[in-house]
Amino acid sequence: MSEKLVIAIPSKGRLKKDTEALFEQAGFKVGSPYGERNYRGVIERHDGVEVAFLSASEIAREVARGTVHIGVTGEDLVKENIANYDATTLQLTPLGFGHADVVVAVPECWIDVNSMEDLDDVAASFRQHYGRRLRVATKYWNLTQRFFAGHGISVYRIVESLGATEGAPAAGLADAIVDITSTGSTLKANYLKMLDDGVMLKSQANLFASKTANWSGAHAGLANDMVVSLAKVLQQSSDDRAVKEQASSAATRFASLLG
Amino acid sequence: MSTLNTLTKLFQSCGYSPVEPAILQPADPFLNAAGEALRRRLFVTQSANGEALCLRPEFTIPVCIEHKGGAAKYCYEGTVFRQREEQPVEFEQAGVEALGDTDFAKADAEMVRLALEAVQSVSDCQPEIRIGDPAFFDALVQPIGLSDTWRDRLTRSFGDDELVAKVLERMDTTVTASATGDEGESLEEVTAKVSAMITSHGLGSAEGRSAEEIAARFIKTRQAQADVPGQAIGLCKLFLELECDASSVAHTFEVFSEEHEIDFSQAISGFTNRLDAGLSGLDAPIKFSAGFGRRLDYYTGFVFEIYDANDRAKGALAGGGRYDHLTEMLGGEKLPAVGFSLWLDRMEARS
Repeated sequence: MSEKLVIAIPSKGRLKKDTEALFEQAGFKVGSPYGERNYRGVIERHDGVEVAFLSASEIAREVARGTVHIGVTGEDLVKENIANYDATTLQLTPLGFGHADVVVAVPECWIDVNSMEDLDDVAASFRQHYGRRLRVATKYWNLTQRFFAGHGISVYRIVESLGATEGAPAAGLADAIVDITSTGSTLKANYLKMLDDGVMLKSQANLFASKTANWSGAHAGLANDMVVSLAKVLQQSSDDRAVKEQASSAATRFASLLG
Repeated sequence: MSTLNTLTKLFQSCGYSPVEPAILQPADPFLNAAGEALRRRLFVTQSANGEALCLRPEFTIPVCIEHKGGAAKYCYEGTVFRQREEQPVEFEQAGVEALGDTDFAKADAEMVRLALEAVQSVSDCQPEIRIGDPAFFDALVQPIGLSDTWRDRLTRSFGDDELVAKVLERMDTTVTASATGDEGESLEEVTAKVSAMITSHGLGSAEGRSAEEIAARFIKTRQAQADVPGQAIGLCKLFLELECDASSVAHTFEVFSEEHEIDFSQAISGFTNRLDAGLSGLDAPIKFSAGFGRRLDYYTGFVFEIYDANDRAKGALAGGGRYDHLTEMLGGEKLPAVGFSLWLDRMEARS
């Protein structure tokens, strides 16, 4: 297939805009010579690069599969959708945008529940009171299972929710939810509250490199230039100290991947 | 003769009828009974109409689902499927389930005896039996001055040493106020407040938690913030370390009773009944561990495992116990139930 270095960029919305702005600052201007709605693009003045516009969750998957060398996507999606993400992807650096916390939330009227420990109590006696297990609506099956297991909670059921998760309790489809939130206003509007220790993951957009892609030939050098330039921009312009710090070591991490 | 044939013959000769549950099972009963954490270990697929199905990960639940009526004794053998990292994901199990036998002590003792005979019939190992009985832990946590909340937390982590240690640690260090609100509000006032929230938040028609239960737990956790008696934690730790031969359980707990003024007499007599019902005459050493239990909430009583004394690291060769809540949890009538299964993949077939 393609002999080019394949970079995956989110195909729409804020995430696409922010990513393209960052790449342009780093000297890699993304272009769409095949039309705005085409799923392929280029990096101007870099013929060796092909841009793939994909949905953020496809990017997570394709980086892991190795059909994409470098991709921008949310940490939550990689950790949720890629079973062995440590073996297949390398998290190079957070990018300072696309913030979303994955949190556990319960109805506000559960005035007796403020912590995961409380939720554990409620889950444990739920069947005894209501003849069924406590239901948690989410699209984050894996993150939820890991987080709940870490808190010793095992007796509950996950109800898959692919949209409007916050509405599940009022609709009678679930008792609690796990979902992303950036400001908490959607939770509030649905009379839900986050648990004090219910932040499962503080996610944001990250630069990921594939551990399974073919890095031979010209790919490595070009990719390295790109990682170094992006990291430099982040170090200079980000106002988040954690991002600066991670960016400063991104090139070293990438070099270790190339061996 | 194959291992499986040998076992089925043995079980049949003891009055157990062979059953063959389907390999493909509805996933819900397993997930409802064992909890969502089991999902990671299941092979799940979907039927054409969207029902979640799984390859059977064990036999007890399918056998109990298929059972209709009163007392019955079943045996099974076949392949089970579990997601495991370093071992084969499909492997052989055999075992029995005795449903509806109300002579608990005799049924418990019979399970251990039969499991031991089964292990000895197919393997040359040196079997050693380990027994646990949560009645002792229940007797311990009742009188030591814990609030309901802490007692429930301890009771449901029983069987998982790490979790128990965590709960004890939290009892020791964090007695933080997890509940908020006016300290003085009565149960009725809190119930009315929650009830109004449920209505105004549009949860009225949802089958969620009731205002009564929320309010009751709110009051209960408010009380739980009261001091945990310091000696309770120490007593739990002492208790969980107790291990002895089955024959000296009565003596061990009588001594513990006297030293710490805790009444174990019911637990002791229950245990002694099992010994008298046949457990004491077995041809293998039996150890009692005070902290040994299973966390699944359908296990209700005594549990046991059989090991190879020469190779404990490979895990239990047989595991079983009492699960009196399971048939009811699966939608049937409530039946006393006890059973065991054999990990045939851990036993080398006798040549």
